[in-house]
Amino acid sequence: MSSLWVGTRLMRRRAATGPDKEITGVDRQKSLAVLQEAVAEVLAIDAGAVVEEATFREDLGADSLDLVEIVLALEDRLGVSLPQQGLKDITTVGEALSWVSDNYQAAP
Amino acid sequence: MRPASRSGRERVVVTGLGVKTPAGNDIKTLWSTLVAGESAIAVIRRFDPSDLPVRFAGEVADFDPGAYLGPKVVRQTDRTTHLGFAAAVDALTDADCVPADPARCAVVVGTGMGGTASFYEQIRKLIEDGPARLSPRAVTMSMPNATSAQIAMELGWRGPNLCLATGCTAGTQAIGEGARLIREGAADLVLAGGAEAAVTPIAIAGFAQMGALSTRNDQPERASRPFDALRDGFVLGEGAAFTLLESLDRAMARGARIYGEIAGYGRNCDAYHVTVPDPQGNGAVACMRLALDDAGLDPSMIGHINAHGTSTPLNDSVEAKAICMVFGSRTPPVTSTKGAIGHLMGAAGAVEAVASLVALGHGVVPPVTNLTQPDAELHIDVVAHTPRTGCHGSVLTNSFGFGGQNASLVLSLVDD
Repeated sequence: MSSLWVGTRLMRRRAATGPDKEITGVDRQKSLAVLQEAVAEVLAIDAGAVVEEATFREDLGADSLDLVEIVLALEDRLGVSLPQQGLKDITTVGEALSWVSDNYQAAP
Repeated sequence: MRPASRSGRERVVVTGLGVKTPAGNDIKTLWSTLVAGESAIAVIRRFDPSDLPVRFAGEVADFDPGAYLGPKVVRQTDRTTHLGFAAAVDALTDADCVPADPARCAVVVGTGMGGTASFYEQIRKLIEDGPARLSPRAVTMSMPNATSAQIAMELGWRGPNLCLATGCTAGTQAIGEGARLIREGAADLVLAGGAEAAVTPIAIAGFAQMGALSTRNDQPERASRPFDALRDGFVLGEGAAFTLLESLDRAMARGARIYGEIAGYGRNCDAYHVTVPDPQGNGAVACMRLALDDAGLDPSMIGHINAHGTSTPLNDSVEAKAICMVFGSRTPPVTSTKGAIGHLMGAAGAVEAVASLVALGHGVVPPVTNLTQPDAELHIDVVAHTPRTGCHGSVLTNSFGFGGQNASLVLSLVDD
């Protein structure tokens, strides 16, 4: 996974690395795979249940602590630091995917 | 049968037992190890102990927390909670309990250190990776009351929920205080016991620095030898034990199997030194007498004693002295469960209460594992080599902790 995501702490912030890059369809798919893996691990559920329409709290049974753990699990996989506010204002997996993409600068 | 109550109070009985110990994860296996005088102590398997001054312990083997808790909860809780919850559920299942009002179902858990392994791991993370990488469950996994909380959440038990963190006395106190909840009318059912999973580098190194642990690295299975002349310290163990407590009236009304009665409970404090017992044994003597008085029993009615018997030079000599002060020159047979499984800290007293209840039922006192050379300075009747049979009468079980906290229980058969 790390070869696909050459993320480092130096290039983790949009602000530090310049303007948004267009997230291509391929990147979005890879982001979703990473997100699914992280969510499935933290919530101990099947990754197949982690679809974009699913809500974290109602559909997947996540609590506020789980959402923090999911951010940590994403950081582990992406090798980046994600913003402190994390997923707490986020409702669905799809929104989380956009949030990850927004906060993650893919390698050139 | 004795009157229904002493000074009008409820009589409290044990109708369910559950254990997760180095010597087995069910009552039958634990008991057969104790009766055979075998040792469950071995070189540490859960982590590489090469750098530690003491490299052996009593570890629980063949235990799958996933058989008791969902995978998410297993991830989110410490091994202390896994062991404790499993033993509690075993006790509840064993009691074949009829449902009770959840608001009158209580949980009392003793633990010395709580989720030590999780705390250790999170401290390591804090230092190596920084505060932003800490688990949001760093606190909830580690806190001593995590096990009592988890038992309540899983079972929906909304009554009194207590956690006693009185070190090596906690398991005994949990059962004593649990019995009091029923006596006081605060609960109908109580799951009371202890849980500890402190076989970790921090606990081993800490106790080793105190000089409290046996350093017999070349012969781990011979290291825990309570009341033996060659004892050189205690052996750390992990595990859990629980009892299901209810009133005698309730147990009889539902035709429950009754292991025995929590007939007496005493607890006090040495108020002397954080690790050294009062050399005169005053705290221990007073504590045993409190339990006997609470049971309304004369020392002559005690059939055997399950001693704290840690295998440290000092504990065993002071405890022996204290037993002589209470029982005179002819003491009842004395055993210590720690020779077989080591010292389970906050779970020790609970395992020993369970072992005492099983012994009571069989009328058999297990020998002290590794007692090959009884300490001639100790004037108590320690059971060595083979089990002692025909020991009738109640059991007195002691726990004395670092911190100076003492607790004793008197356990009796109800048809005595």
